[in-house]
Amino acid sequence: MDLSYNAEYDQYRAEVVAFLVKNWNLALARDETYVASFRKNATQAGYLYRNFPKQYGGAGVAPDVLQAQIIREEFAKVRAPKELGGNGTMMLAPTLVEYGTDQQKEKFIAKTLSGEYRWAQGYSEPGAGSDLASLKTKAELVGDEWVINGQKIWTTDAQSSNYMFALVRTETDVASKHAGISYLLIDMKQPGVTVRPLKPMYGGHAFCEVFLEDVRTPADWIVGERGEGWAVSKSTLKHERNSVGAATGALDTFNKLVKVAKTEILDGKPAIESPLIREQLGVLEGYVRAHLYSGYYQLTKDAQGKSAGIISMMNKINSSNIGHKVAEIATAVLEDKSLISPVFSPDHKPGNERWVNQILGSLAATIGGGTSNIQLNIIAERGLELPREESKN
Amino acid sequence: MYFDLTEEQYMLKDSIESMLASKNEDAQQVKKYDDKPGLDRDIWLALVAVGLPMVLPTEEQGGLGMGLLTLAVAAEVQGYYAAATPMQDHCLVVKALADHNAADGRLPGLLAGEQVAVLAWSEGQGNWLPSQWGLVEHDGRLNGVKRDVIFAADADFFLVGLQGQRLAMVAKDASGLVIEAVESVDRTQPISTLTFQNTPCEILTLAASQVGAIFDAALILQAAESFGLGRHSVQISVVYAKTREQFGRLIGEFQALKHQLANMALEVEPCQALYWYAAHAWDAIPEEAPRAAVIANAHITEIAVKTARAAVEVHGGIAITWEFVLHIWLKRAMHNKVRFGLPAAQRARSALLEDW
Ligand SMILES: Cc1cc2nc3c(=O)[nH]c(=O)nc-3n(C[C@H](O)[C@H](O)[C@H](O)COP(=O)(O)OP(=O)(O)OC[C@H]3O[C@@H](n4cnc5c(N)ncnc54)[C@H](O)[C@@H]3O)c2cc1C
Repeated sequence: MDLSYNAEYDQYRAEVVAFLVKNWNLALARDETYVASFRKNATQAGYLYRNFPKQYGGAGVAPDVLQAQIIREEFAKVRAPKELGGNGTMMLAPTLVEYGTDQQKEKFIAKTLSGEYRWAQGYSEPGAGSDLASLKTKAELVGDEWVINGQKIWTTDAQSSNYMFALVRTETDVASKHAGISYLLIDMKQPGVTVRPLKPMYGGHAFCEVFLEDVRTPADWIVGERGEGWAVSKSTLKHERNSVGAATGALDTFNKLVKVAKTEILDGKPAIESPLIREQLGVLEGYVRAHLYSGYYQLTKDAQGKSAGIISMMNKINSSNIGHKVAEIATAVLEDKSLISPVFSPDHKPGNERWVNQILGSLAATIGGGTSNIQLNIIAERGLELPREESKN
Repeated sequence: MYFDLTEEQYMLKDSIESMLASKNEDAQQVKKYDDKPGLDRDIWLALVAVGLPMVLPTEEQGGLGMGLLTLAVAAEVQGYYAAATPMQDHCLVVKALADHNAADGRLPGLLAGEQVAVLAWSEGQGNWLPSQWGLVEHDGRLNGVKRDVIFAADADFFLVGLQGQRLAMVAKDASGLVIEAVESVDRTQPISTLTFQNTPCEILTLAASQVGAIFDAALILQAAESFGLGRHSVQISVVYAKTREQFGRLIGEFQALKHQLANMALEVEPCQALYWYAAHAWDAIPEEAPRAAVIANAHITEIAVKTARAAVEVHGGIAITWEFVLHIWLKRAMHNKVRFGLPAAQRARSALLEDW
């Protein structure tokens, strides 16, 4: 065990720090043009979009999880912008790198990384959530176009996306429900696409219903072969995971919670002085740190190209469970501020009542990306190799 | 031993249930939920017609003297249907006023539900308990703030908690009273902040034990209501598990779901007897009432939140939407858990009461 990075990595860290000192000015963090040009510089320097080929707008450097970790740490320290978030950069672009044709890469990756193309993930349907492979949206090849009919639901950010990557049923006479699925790219700005935003219970925008009626997409906008969509989508799901990223996020939230507990007054004293809050925070910190250090272990294994085993199946549910606990403690710390619905507007910044969005949002996190039950099934069936509960379809 | 409701209490429960089922079933609630939060007059009048404000005052006080258990059963049903009225608050103000002076001129209007009265106890930062009330009265005037007052915009009177565990009545149109609505998470019980500036009030002549009893009753009614919220969360989840299919079967066929639902029921169902006991103690074993009230309130308000959260997880994505009913109960449960003091504060008090 050696927690230090070797001299080569210390040197790398020094370079990252020097780059940030020279190129990043926090005072301009709200200036979109400045931020966009910072991202461009940081990409050219090899710090953002690291593993995307240069020709498609990436840095084109070889994967090195330790370097990536150093960048995450140093960028976070000075609050420099990381890669754009969202489905496009986090899911679609990596999938195209792995499975896309040259034309697809050419057309989509650079503009996705720059944020010009925004993507919706069209997987879930009203009847196909946990049982995603039972999806019914159909695509038929008519001449040189796919004609798509069906409905997607819970589609995050569909209202602001230009494109969707979707799982659709293209094959009928196949051995399993999985084998009939293909992965298509769809232009959302065309007749036949109807987007109906769904208001989440915590207000604001989150997800939508998307109705597809005789929607068309070119025959060659399929990623992977016909009937290979399930495997292609698995690559997307893999990219979605970032063990250390999520665990660092949990530690971040924990530290913020401690800070709030120091400022909020409960029964005449800072909440943090309450023995009960201390105990609850103490218990939570155990979970948070176990999660974080397990991330370090996974990072090490990833760096060696090896599997970390069952622990790598626990990241999502660990984060979800920590979210539940944070919600409980935040309620106790905020007391009656947790009764206030936070209002975000240009002329109003909410106070600590903004934690209400964590309290409610922690529930969304237990469902999106696979429910906690499904995570437990994965741990039990793939991790512990218990017999599978057979599906009846 | 007969540990059950009377036939009369069951009849009352049934009648409120069928009334609320017709006025506030889930789909109607979703429709109402986007309206400006406030008193649901229709339901208010129906609850008044059942005679709820008359339940607590004794016959000598001009009421029915039917006891807190009866009122608590009614509160349970109002929780189950998340009815948007301050009926529990109102009934407690009526009782406090009747204890103060059965001939008080405000009583007839309050008993008839023509006027609405609510409790103004919180001072923020966890100060809800009578021992924590810090607002001071000088020469019949108040200066200060009360927070988290429900339905303030619809109320005609406020029963304000003062330093020294005293209660005072303040009229809505009293001079120097400013009511400021707060954007509330729970839209079925919207909250406001009251600011008093040299505002006239009338101190009620109640013994400390009488004030304590009103507070205990508030805890018990809220526990009953929260039991109703919890039961609704279980009920709606069970129905969903029997209709939603994934992997070619009802999700309720998965043992994981069965155990989740069974555990939710296991947490909630015993709470009925817990609140019954507390309400009965308030009616018949007064020396036990303060602790029974605290135990029931802390336990049940906490379980109601836990159960509502579990219900969201049982439902999956649909429960994250504003259009689906579940968050209405979740948010009300969150409100009840905080209102009158968090479970931890209650339990600390319970330990003190028992001299632990
Ligand atoms: C905030 C948010 C954002 C989302 N964004 C997107 C998006 O951008 N694109 C997209 O395609 N989807 C998105 N989703 C959808 C998400 O992936 C699904 O909601 C999720 O997979 C669950 O499906 P469901 O909602 O249909 O619930 P269901 O699958 O119907 O689940 C209902 C209940 O049954 C349980 N259950 C189901 N099967 C089993 C089993 N075998 N064993 C035990 N229990 C089981 C579940 O755990 C749950 O408790 C999003 C969801 C949320 C909440």
